[in-house]
Amino acid sequence: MSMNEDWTQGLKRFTKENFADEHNDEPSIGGEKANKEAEIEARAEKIKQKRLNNEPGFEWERMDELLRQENIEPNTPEAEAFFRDWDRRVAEMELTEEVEEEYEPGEFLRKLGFKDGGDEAGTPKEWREKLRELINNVKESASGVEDEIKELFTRKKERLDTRSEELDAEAEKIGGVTEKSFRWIGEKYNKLGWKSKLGVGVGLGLGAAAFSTVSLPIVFACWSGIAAQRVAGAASMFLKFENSKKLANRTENLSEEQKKVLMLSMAVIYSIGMSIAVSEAITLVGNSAWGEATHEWLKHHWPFGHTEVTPQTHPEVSQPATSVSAPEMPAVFVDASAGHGYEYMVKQLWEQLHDPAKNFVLPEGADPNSDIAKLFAADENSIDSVVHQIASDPQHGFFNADGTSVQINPTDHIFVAADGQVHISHGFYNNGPVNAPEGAPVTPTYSPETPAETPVPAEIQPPTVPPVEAFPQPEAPPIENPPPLNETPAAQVETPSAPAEAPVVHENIVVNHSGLEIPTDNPHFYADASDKNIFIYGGSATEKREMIEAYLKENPDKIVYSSDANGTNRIAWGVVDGKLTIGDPIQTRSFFNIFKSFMKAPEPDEFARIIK
Amino acid sequence: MQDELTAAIAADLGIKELPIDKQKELISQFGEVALKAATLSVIGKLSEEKRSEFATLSEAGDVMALKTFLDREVPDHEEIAKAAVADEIKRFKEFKSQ
Repeated sequence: MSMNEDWTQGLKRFTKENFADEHNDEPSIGGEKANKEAEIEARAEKIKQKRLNNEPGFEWERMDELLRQENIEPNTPEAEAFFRDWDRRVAEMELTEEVEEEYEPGEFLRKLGFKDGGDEAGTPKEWREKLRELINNVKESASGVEDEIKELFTRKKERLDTRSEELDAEAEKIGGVTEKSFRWIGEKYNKLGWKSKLGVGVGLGLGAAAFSTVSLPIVFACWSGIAAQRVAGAASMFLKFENSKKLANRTENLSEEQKKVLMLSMAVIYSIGMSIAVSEAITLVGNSAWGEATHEWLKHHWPFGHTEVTPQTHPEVSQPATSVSAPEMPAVFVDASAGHGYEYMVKQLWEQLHDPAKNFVLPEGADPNSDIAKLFAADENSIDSVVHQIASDPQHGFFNADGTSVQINPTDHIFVAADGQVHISHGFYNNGPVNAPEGAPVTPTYSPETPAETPVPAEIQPPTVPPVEAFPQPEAPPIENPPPLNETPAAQVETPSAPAEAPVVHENIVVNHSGLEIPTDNPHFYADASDKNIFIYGGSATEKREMIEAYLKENPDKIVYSSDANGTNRIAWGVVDGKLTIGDPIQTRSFFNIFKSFMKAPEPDEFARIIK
Repeated sequence: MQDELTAAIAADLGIKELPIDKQKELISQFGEVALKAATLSVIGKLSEEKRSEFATLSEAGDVMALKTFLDREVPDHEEIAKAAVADEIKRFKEFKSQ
């Protein structure tokens, strides 16, 4: 049989007689029937057009052949009647085949996992039986899985019981205090709540590479609830990240797992309340291999070197400090927005803290000198001056060492961290803070012409603000009345300013938030995180001056920032016309230079590394 | 956050297929085993006298004191503990395949 004959035989199946035998009308009522009829009519019209247009599959030659087999003359009323009927039957055939293709019963059953779906549609009874069999199979399968899970769990549990006994036996062999310690560890551990146990797991490095730090001190911190509190406290921040559209845009090229790890890491980092290290850590986590970066960071910073430890002076470094559980801070969070500066954002934090719907209160045990304490104490009349003080505090990193503002990027946001201080995070994947462009607008929120009394807690003394004077521009520092190089600039001995928020202070050593050890009894040069600004810190005024003189002789194009003679404000040292010169106290820049304040003396938390 | 950490640890231990309550039970139990193993590995490096000091500090939950002590007495305590925990994870996972 030729191809043409095969095709013609196929077409013959749809003559009036045999089509009726193959496709009995199924019962249909009302609108459904009308819809079906309309569908057939539409399809029949399309087929007619294909036939008239001599389209592939409906060529005139084939149509004539069909007529000849039916003994009908082409181009006659009989032929026209034949094709009217034929078009309709082909239309019905096409539509029926499409439906069968979509819901082919055997395939449907096979897709459901039915072993013998069959290729032909069965009777309703056969269908019901097949479905019943299918359901029974699913039930049996589910029951089997449940048994497997039970067995797996039981075996794992027994295995852990055995292993625990083995370890106890090892401890028993050692005897003495080890055996006692082991008993104590077991008893204590079993009394811990789930959160604390989770904290132990994190401390032991369980749970993906991001938390691969293993530290027994962290684990034993769970006894006092510190680590567990950190873990639990990160939850709200994690949700913030997870729901952040900005972050979603930033992480769109990452896998879901990577996103999750990043957000978990960031949430933990946030909850720790680091200040300077926050943006660095986020950048590190964002740019590096997940596990390695976070591990390294956590290893150095969690939970050491932050507010868990009250700053104390110890005669010996080895003497243990007393740990204090950090209070849980309200989860307040302000995204950067166009045209708004730090002061606006801090004020938004204040509004959130005082939102009656949220019922925030100052956490018990919060440092009365902390930003959050100041923000809680502020009212509508005083908030502007409070936010100005906070924004201009160099510890926050809102200003560069030379008094210029640090740029706020669209992805930045500020928040109150666990140490009670206001922090800003700088772009998750950026290379840290960027200096604000020259002339960038600053939101005026504080007017010295109408000073408001700062509502600070009773223990806090308002900061000393010297009279407003012209301040040196960083590009061309106007250094006036430079003292002769052989003259000591101040009679009094300069006392290095003690870091108000420094985590650990040992005798003659300050450990800052980055974990950097900073001697206070002799001067050293330091660079900040940008590696562009140089500071000198520690020792007496004379010692510092000698160091600066020597350094600037070798590096005459550099500027060194130091404290003034009172140890209060920041001054710049440089070489002008070959002479060592000192600038006036540096002021923060602000709107039209009207709203400005003096920058505090360099503080340990600004330092990222020792230069010399 | 707790759920995320639980899921991460469950994945680490290869027990993701278990129901969440079972995961938590095993994580809790594994935590004890890992803690004992890590502690034992570090204690083994200390003299009896120092073990007593370790016990006092760990019982107090004083993070800084314990860290200072371990940094001084067992400088590589983090690596030692990490190896012990890694060994327990490996044992636990291998048991699954048996």
